[in-house]
Amino acid sequence: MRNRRIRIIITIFAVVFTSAIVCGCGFEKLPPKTNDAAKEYIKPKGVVPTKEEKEIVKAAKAEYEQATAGQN
Amino acid sequence: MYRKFNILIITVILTGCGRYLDVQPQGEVIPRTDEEFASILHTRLREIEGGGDECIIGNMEVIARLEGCADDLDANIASGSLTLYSGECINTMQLYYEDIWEVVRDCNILIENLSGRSTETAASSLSAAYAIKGICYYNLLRNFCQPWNDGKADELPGIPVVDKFDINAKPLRGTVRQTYEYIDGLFRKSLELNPKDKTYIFTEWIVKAYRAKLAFWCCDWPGTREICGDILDNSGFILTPAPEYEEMINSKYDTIGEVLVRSHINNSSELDWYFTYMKGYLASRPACASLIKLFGPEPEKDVRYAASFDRKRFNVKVPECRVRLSEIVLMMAEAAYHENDRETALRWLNELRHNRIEGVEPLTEDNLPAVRDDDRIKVDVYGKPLTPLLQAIFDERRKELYMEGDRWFELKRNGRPEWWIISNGLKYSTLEYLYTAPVSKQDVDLNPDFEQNPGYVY
Repeated sequence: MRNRRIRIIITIFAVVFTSAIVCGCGFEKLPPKTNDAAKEYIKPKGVVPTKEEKEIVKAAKAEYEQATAGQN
Repeated sequence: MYRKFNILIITVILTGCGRYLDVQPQGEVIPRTDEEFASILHTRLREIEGGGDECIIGNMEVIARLEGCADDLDANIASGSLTLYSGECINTMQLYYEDIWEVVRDCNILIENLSGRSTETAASSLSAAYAIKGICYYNLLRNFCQPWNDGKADELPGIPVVDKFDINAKPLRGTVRQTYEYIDGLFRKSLELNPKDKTYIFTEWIVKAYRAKLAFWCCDWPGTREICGDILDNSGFILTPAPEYEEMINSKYDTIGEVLVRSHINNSSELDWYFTYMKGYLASRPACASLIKLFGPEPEKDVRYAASFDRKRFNVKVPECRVRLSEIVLMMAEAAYHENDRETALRWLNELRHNRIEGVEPLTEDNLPAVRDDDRIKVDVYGKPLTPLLQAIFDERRKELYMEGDRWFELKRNGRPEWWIISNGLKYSTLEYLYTAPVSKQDVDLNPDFEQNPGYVY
């Protein structure tokens, strides 16, 4: 009697297991894994300008201030 | 026994049916009829009308990026709320690249399914799909390929040709010449379908205008002249005269005067609140002195000046992407110049100036201003030094197409000059490689043979 019950339980588990494997596991072809790769390119960093370059900007600002002074 | 049998049946059903929890999407259908396919297209057209489209005609967001990267506005005086320089947006350009491909995908779905159908809806949708796909490819070509070079057109990487929706396909980039020929073919197919219905936006003269822009970008001067000549002679559009210029250029929603096509014609777009901010951003950086000087000692005589700048040199021009007849005139003049037809070049240049500057004297070979040595653009598309006539054409183009996203591509087309700005104590340089944005890194990762543009590292 006990052996028969064990056989039934084993049969049920076997059927469930086989069904799960056959029906539940579909073959999926995934694209190569890239989610751990960097997605961004490195942006160029700013550098400290030279004195001459600072002078050029200063001159541009002075021209702007002078040209637009008093104009609102 | 009966109970065990039931358990077995339920077990098999539950494990066998993997989709019992799937929910059928409501209100969505797989398109089959002409109208259902057309609705895919109308979503894109609605974006253009509402001003949300960045991939086809473009919108304020695109102008803000392009003007932020270019030099008509001077970040050295005040950087404002715009992109500081082109190096800042190399990663957002990858998203732009991916977004454009989504539009191409939609066009391909239409082209695949509507080809051969005979209804008016199918023909109009198909024509618009070819046109939109062509414009998307044109935008990809200008942004993600190196500028046209006759000697290297068969070597420089182009844009992958994707003719049908295939998720497994991994097309390579081909060359810029192949891309040019492919885009021109798309525009021809659109025109063969005789697009007339304005509901689909891309009617005959608009498609021809983009075809001219493509030929111009790829230095096909005879082609540029032929198409521009056709538009100027037969389209019925005329250059907007000076007294009507401001109304035309600063119209908030209307396509009037010489405007062939523009973004944002819907006066109740859900994005209007956003555009209010964008206009503020675009008016946060003043125009640079070299642009202002082009208007001469009496700038008020040029209608473009007051329509473009306030007294502090901040922008007042309505920043919308447009295709206008004046651009066709300027392309005609430059194409004639490169074909050594200086008389035609001068004639069209004077025609534009006559419609913009009060009491202007015509330019002749004898009174053309000498070439300035402090200009950013020093060479033409072939790397040759500027001449007085070409400089005059460039000057007029710069004034005319200010705040329409043109200057960045003019710099790219004519020698890719390197320059810098200083912000918060640091110098940022626009280097030659930055004129060509990086294609999506995901595409490069998925296909090692897919070539990235030079200069980009991660």
